Order: sequence, then C-alpha cells, then structure tokens
Amino acid sequence: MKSYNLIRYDLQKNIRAHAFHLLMICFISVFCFAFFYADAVQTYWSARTFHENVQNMRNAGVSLTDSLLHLTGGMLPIHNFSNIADQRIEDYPIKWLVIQFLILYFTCEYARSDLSGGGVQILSRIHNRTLWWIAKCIWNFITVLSCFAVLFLTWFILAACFHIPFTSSIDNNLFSGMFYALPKISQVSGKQAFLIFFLLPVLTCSSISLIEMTLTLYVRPVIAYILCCIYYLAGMFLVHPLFLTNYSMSIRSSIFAFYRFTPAVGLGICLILMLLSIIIGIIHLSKMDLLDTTQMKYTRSWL
Amino acid sequence: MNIKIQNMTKTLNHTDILSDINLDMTGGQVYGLHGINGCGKTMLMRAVAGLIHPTKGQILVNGRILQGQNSFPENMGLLLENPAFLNQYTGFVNLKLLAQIRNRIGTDEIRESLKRVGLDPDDTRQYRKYSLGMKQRLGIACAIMEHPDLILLDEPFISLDETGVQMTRTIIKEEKDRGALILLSSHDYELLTSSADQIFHLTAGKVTKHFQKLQDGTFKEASL
Repeated sequence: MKSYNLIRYDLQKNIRAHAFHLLMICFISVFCFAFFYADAVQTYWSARTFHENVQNMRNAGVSLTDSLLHLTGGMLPIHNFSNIADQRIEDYPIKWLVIQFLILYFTCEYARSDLSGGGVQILSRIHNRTLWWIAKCIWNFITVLSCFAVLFLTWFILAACFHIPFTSSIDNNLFSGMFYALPKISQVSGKQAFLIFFLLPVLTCSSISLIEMTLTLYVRPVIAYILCCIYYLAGMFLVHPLFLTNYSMSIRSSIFAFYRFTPAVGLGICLILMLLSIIIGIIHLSKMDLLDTTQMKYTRSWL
Repeated sequence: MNIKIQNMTKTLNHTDILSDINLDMTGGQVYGLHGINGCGKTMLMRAVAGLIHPTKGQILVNGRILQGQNSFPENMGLLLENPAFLNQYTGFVNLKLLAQIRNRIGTDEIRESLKRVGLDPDDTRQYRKYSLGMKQRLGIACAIMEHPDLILLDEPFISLDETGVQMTRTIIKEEKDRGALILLSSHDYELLTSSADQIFHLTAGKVTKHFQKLQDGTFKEASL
C-alpha cells in the first residue's frame, strides 16, 4: 500500500508538467508524420497535382511499416569518417534523436530535486530509502512509457486519417531514399514490428533514462543529461552492442539483415542496465547524505 | 521517546560541520538549538531526522541506531528550513497527499491541524499563492498532523507574524504536554526561551553551552 501511495504521489506531483510534456510529444509526432507523408509523396512525385501524387503514393502501397521505419529507423552507420563532411543534415535521424533527448530531459531532474525538497517529507514517512528509490524508478519508467504511448498513438491516428494501410510490407523506393540501400526483406511480421518499433525504443530510452537518474545522485542533473546525450549520439557512429542507440534505431536490427543487433540481445542489455541502475541507486542512496541545495556547497564544487 | 547522540561528528569535504556532539533527550520536553547562521543547527536537525549519516559516533532513537537503509526515526514530524509542497494544490490537498502515504489519519485530523495553525481547510487558493507566513504555517501543520512522537522544527518562527509566533508557541506546548519530544532551532534566543525547556548553544559545529529552564521560567547554565 505504501509503495502504491508513493508512486501515486510522484505521478500527482508531476501531473501538470507531464501533461505539458505529453502535449509536446504529440506535436512532435504530428510534425514527424508530416515529414514522412511529404517524403512519401515526393518519392512518387510524377504527376502535376498534389492530389494525383498522393494517389500515386497510395497505389504504390506505402504502409504503416514504412512510416514507422521513417520515424524509428535512424541511420545506417558511417563507415568512412573521412566522408563525414559529405553527409547531409537530413541523413541524420534528427527527429528521432530530438524525441529521445526530450524524454531524457523530462526525467532528468525530478529525483534529484525531490531529494532536497518535498521528498524529505516522503522519506520521513516511509522510513525506507530503497522504497523511495524504487518508486522513483517506476515513475521514470511510467513517464517514458507514456511519452512513447502518446507518440505512437498520435502516429496511428494520423496514419488512419491519411489512409496509410496498416500492413507490414516495405516499399523499396521509400526505403532506398531513406537509407541509401535496398531492403533485404520485403516485410516484417507483427511480432518483429512490435519488438523493433515499439518495445526496443521504449526499453532503450527507459534504460538510458534510469542511468541518467542514477547519475544525478553523483553529479548535477544537467551534467547527467549531457553525458547521456553524448552516449546516445556516440551510438549513432559506433556500431557496438554496448551502445543502446544501435538497438533503438530499427534499421540496425538483425531483422533488416544489415547488422547483427538482435532484438533479444538488446532486450537483455536493456534489462541488465535497468537492474544495475536500480541497484547502484539503492546502494548509493543508502549511504548518501540528504542535504538541501544550500548545504550542497559542502560536498561538491563544479559537479 | 528517547534520543541519544553519542560523540557524533559530521565531516563534509574535509570540514567538520558537527564536532563531537553528545546529547541526551527524552519525550515530553522541548529542546532548543541556538546559534548563529551556519553554526550547524540545521545539520544537527538533519542528522537526528536520519537524513545525514554521522562520520563518527552514533545516534540512537529508542535504543535503535540510525544507520543505512533504516536511518529514520519512527513516527517523526519534520519542518525543515524550506517547506516544499506541490504548487498546484491547496494546502489541504497537499497534506492529504502526504497523509495518504502512511494512511494513519483521516481528513478530520488534517482539517484540525490546519485550523490549529490558523489556516482555513476550505481555502481554495493554490500553495503557490500562499504568503511566506502561510507556507510556514502549512509546514508546521504537516509536522504535527500525524501526532508524531518526535517533532523537529527548524526555524519555526521565521516569516511568522506576532499571532503566528504565539500560535506556534501554543502548539509546541500542547505537543509537549501530549508527550512528544520536540527539537527546535532558532537564531533568536528570546524566542527559544519562550518555548524550550533546555537550550543547547552551538558554535562552529560544537555544543558550547547548555542552559536549563528553572521553576521560575528563567534559564541557568548547566553542565554539558
């Protein structure tokens, strides 16, 4: 009962800010969908009128899977860094990164600020630092999950409104336009789509968000945020399983046969990192002095 | 309720914030911490509240050492320097949300504690619109609403007007008569003498003087 009340308190405390955050995510989803739609129509641009070109795109069978690839696909890694200057800005998955960075921003400060504010009242009532930390981890997960839920829900509604068929086929032209390569598969199954488009992005973002929250116990939230963003960005260029960005970009999944990042390994790494963050947080918090912001000058200088 | 602080030292960043503190406190008494800003009053409060861990020595509450995961005294009410509540809710809703965590008291007790500090439980104003004095009153209500055995009040008279100060004195007396152990801090010696039974004077993290209240209400220096 205590844990339930604790999580409810965290959610109620942030409800107004979170509603605003979800609205932002909703707008970004609309913005990204508009980009996808424009891209899809442009790929099949051959007629005079916009309406005719939309019809061309529909006839080509551009599907929901294509749209999700456009949103979550990311980019294939750059192998020859001497050519990095030739990359165009649209080659980078800016929209996808902005979404991840925003979610990390939403979750970065709460736990830390609560420790030197209202959280003290909670701690004095529950007498248990572990329970407090676990409640914060659950709050963190719910926040990330709700952001992605709004993102994808908005996406599905828009796809339905714009008559994008909910099918699993992959459009060659659109794919090659996005990734400068031809798809090695023609469609993805429902289970695969769930794994790479929904589950892995949610879990990778949630893991990094938990790591970030744990880091805020050691350094200032802004530093934890910057470190996590750098880690995220590094994964765009470094093809290594320890960089979770490789799992959050669906094009790098083994399902598309360009790389060997299997979803199961991704899920495993995410769960291990989440567990590690929770455990490190529990251990550190049990030894940590809970000071208010004015007293922190005794403990830290620039950190 | 019994609190023993034994040879407690707290060092932060190679500086002794509290140094060799020895105190013995029992329920039904009001203890005052007096000293200038930065002398360690709030740190000592935080140590007793279980928010910071002693570097040396120990704190025992009812014979149990405060340490590790379970560093908090049972049944404690707390008012620290800056009472932090949720800006978007009224005072009543704020207290209700906090009370729901332990589920020991109902709405009647919350309303009662708000009335005790001179706040209207039916006031529809959000916390953000409260004046400094009202915020302080809400903080005091939060500390006393669950009838705790240990009440820690850090600078409770700050931001309060004359009526508020008198009201706080009355509450402290009532809680003392109920049997609670009350530890309050203030840099104003006169205010402390009006409520406390014993006063500890802190200088640079050390307890340097101890005053005890006599039958006639005056204070006499006692041994440490």
